[in-house]
Parts: sequence; C-alpha cells; structure tokens
Amino acid sequence: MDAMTPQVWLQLGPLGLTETVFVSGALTVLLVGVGAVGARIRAVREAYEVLYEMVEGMLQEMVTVDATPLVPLILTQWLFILSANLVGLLPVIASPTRDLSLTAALAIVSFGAGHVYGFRAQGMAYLKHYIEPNPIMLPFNIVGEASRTLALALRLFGNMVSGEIVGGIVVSLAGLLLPIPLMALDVLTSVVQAYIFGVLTLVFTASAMQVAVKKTVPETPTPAGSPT
Amino acid sequence: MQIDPVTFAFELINFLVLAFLLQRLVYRPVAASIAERRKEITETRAAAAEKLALVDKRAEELATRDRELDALRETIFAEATAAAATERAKLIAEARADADAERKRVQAMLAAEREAALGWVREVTVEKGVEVAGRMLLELVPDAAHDALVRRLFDVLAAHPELREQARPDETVHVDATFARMPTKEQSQALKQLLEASVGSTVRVTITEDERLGAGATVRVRDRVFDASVAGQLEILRDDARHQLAREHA
Amino acid sequence: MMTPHDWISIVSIVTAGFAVAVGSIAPAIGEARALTQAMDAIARQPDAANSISRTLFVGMAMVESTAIYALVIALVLLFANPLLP
Repeated sequence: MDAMTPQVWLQLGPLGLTETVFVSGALTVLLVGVGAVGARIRAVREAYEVLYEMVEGMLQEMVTVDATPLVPLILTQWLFILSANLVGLLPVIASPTRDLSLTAALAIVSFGAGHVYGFRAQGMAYLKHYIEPNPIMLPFNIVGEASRTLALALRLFGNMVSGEIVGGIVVSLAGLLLPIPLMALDVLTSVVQAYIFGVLTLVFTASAMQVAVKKTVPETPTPAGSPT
Repeated sequence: MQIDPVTFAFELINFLVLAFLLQRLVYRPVAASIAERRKEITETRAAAAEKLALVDKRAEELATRDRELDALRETIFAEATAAAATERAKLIAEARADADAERKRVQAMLAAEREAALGWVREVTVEKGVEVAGRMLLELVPDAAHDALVRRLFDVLAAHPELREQARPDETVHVDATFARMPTKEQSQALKQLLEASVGSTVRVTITEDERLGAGATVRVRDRVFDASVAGQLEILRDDARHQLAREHA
Repeated sequence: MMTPHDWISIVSIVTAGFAVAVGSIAPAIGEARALTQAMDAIARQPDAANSISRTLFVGMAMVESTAIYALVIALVLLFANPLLP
C-alpha cells in the first residue's frame, strides 16, 4: 500500500534510502537554511525574536518548571513536524510523518529528552520516580513510559495516515474537487498534531524535571492528562 | 507499517542534527539578542527609575524650598505687620499728641479769651461799681461829705509842715485850689492862712470851681497835690480794686 | 473451496471494519462530552476561553488517539496481517 510503505528512492547496497529520508533531509536543510539566513537579516531576525519570545511565553504558561531550556527542543519539534505534515499537501511528495519509522524516531527523541532533562535537573534522584509511590509500581511505571512513547509515535503516524487514506478513498470515489475540504481538514490536523506532539513532550519532560517537587506541590497544571 | 531501521536511524540522527543546527545557528543568537534586549530594557528602566528618583528628589528640594520661602514670607509678613502696627501706633500717638496740643492751644486760647472777657467784665464792674459808689455817695450825703472833705483837707495841710522847708521868704507861692462848689469866705480865708503857715511865705490862691470833683477839694502846692475830693477817692478806690483783681488773677 | 488463508482474510476484514466502527464510536462520544463541557465552561467563564480551548484541543487529540489506535489495528489487519504470508 502506497500510503503506508514509503518508496525506496535510492538503493545503496543493503541500505534502501526511502522517500522519507530524502524529504525529511530536505526539510532539515530547508529549515536550517531559512533559519540561518533569516537570523542574519535584521527584520527577519527581529520577527524570530518575537516568535521565540511568544513560544517561550506559551511554554512557560503550561508548566511550573523553568521552561527556558526546553524551548529549543519543543520549537524544533514543532517546526519539523509541522513542515513535515504540511509538505504532504504538495503534489507528488508524500508527508514523511506518514512513515512510522520517522514518528518512532521522534518519539524516542522525546522519551530520551525526558530522561536527559530529568537527570540534568535532579541528578540520580530522577530514577526514584520509577519506584514512586512504592517499588511495586516499578513495572507499571516502565510500561507507562513505554506506552506513552509508543502512543506518541502511533498518534502522529495514525492521524497523518488516516487523513491520507480518507483523502485517497474520497478521490477515488468522487473525483477531483471533493478532497479539497478534506485537505483543509488535513491542514488543521497537521497543525494540531504538531502542536500536541510538542506539548506532550513538554509535559513529559517537565514532569520528569519536577518529580521531587511534586510532593510539595500537589496540583501540577498539565494541560493534557497522562497518555493512554 | 514496519519500522525500517535505516530510516529510523537516519531520522533519529536527522532530527538531532536539525535540533543542533537550529540551536547553534538560530535559537542561541536569537535568545542572546532577546536577553540583550531584556537587559537593555532593564537598564533603561533602571536609568528611568534613577531619573525619576532624581526628579522626585528635585521636586522634594523644590518643595522644601517652597516651604522655606513660605516660612520666610510668613516672617516678613509678621515683621511687616509688627512694623505697620508700630508705625500706626506712632502715628496715632503723634496724631493724639497733635490733637492734645491743638486742644490745649484752643483751650489756652479760650482761657485767654475768657480771661480777656473776665478782665473786661472786671473793668466794667470796677468802673460801674466806682461810679455807682460815687454817685451813691454824692446822692446820699452831698453837703456833709463836701464839708467833711474840706475839713480833712485842711487837716492834712496842717499836718504837712515840711512844705516850708523849700520855701524862700521873698517868694510868692501860687497855689491852685479846686473846689467842688465855691467855698465860703471863711473857708477861703482859712485856707489862705493855713497855707501861709505851712509854706512859710506869701501865698496867692487861685480858686476854681469844678463840679466834676463831686465833693471836696484839691490843692496843688508847687509839685504837690493834696486831694480830698470824691473823684480823687474814687480814683484811688478804682486803682486799688484794679490792683487787687490783677493780683488775684496773676 | 475456501482455504484457511481465505478465512483468515475474511475474518481480518470483518474485524478491521468492526475495530474501526466500535473504536470510533467511543472516542466520538467522549469527544462530544468533552466539547459540551468545554462550551459550558467557556460560557461560564469567557475570560478563561483561551486556556480552556487549548486544553480542549490537546484533550481531544488524546481522546482521538484511541480511535487512531483502532484504525492502526485495522490497518495492521488489512495490510500487515501477521497471519498471512
């Protein structure tokens, strides 16, 4: 099935480089290029500053910990996922987020980021959160973390693929113009999913950073609950 | 549906590289300039606050000066009021003194006028009194008085023998005798004898009648006048009364 | 004559359909309830509309994940059925 198995564009011996690799690589180059060039142009740079401050404010509103070190990670996720989602609207090119490999990689990054920031914030005390509230919960905690990482990957992947499949079916049934509202819906889904991916990463990472604080501050305002 | 390890690994690296590059090329400089801007804002605010504080201080100083000026004005006003009061008091005192002086002057003037009037009244009183006394005297006892007075004149003449000291025996002494009414022969004779005895030389007597004397007679021997007439007495009385009154009112 | 593979295919397709059907009903109800509650909350506190709608979006996406899982299961059954060669 086209929608789910990306085409291999270049075969280097045993390594098959798929469309996902090329498109995401191109997006990386594009984002870095736009970012780096824009940062050197005064007006664009000032727009960046405004956006950066806005994002920082948004993130800080959602968590009680200091969100400043998390801004680059979350902002990169947003930019990358959003552009990867939206690039699927172009003809010929398929969205790279339709590939489970990519979303899994992003979810792993998110998972790893939680641990990195958790260790950085609390040192070895971070590991204690696995045996909270008591050691019996250890397996449940581990499964919980694994499942929410999996859920991150699958949510993004499923949303993008479902949009693609529905769009394909509608096109095959009804012709050319009808998919346009669905594409508009796709845009919405793309933005919302990118936003949610970033926000969930933020929430997980922030909760990893403040496990120790959680005891003294019972109410931790998290916009999203624990993932399924 | 499967996870392709190659793609997975590539995407992992891809994302990390993307994050690294964006962090290096975009986020860090942007965040740095944001921080710089915030610092600038903070500094500007601090400077503004400093200036505000300065302005406040200046305003405080001005207020203090204002208060001082107020106090100064109060003092000056008080001094001026005091000076005005003093001046007013002085002026009032001067005016009062002036008024007193004027009043005294007027009082003196009035007193003088009264005095003059009183003097005039006295004068008139004396005049009238003497006149009335003379008239009464003449009206009541004209003849007795006349004779009594003549007798008395003779007594006086007899009691003045010193007239003789000046006399030279060969000289004839003129004597003027004035009578209120013509004397009798005996009287003239008696007079002539008395005078000759007194003077010690020949005497020629010129007798004249003058009703103005009222009663009595006067005799002038050389530079001496012997007066025994009512007019003369009244004259003496008048002079006495005048002197008396003048002494009392001096 | 039906081979076992044919039976597996038939059962997989039917199961995939049911998975999507049932798996979308429950999240749809859940999302609808969340939406009505959010509308209620916004009507009561228009000031908090921003924060409420943001939370609503995230929450809806989370709920929708359930439907997506069902879809993934269906897709696995249809296109990556482990019982079929």
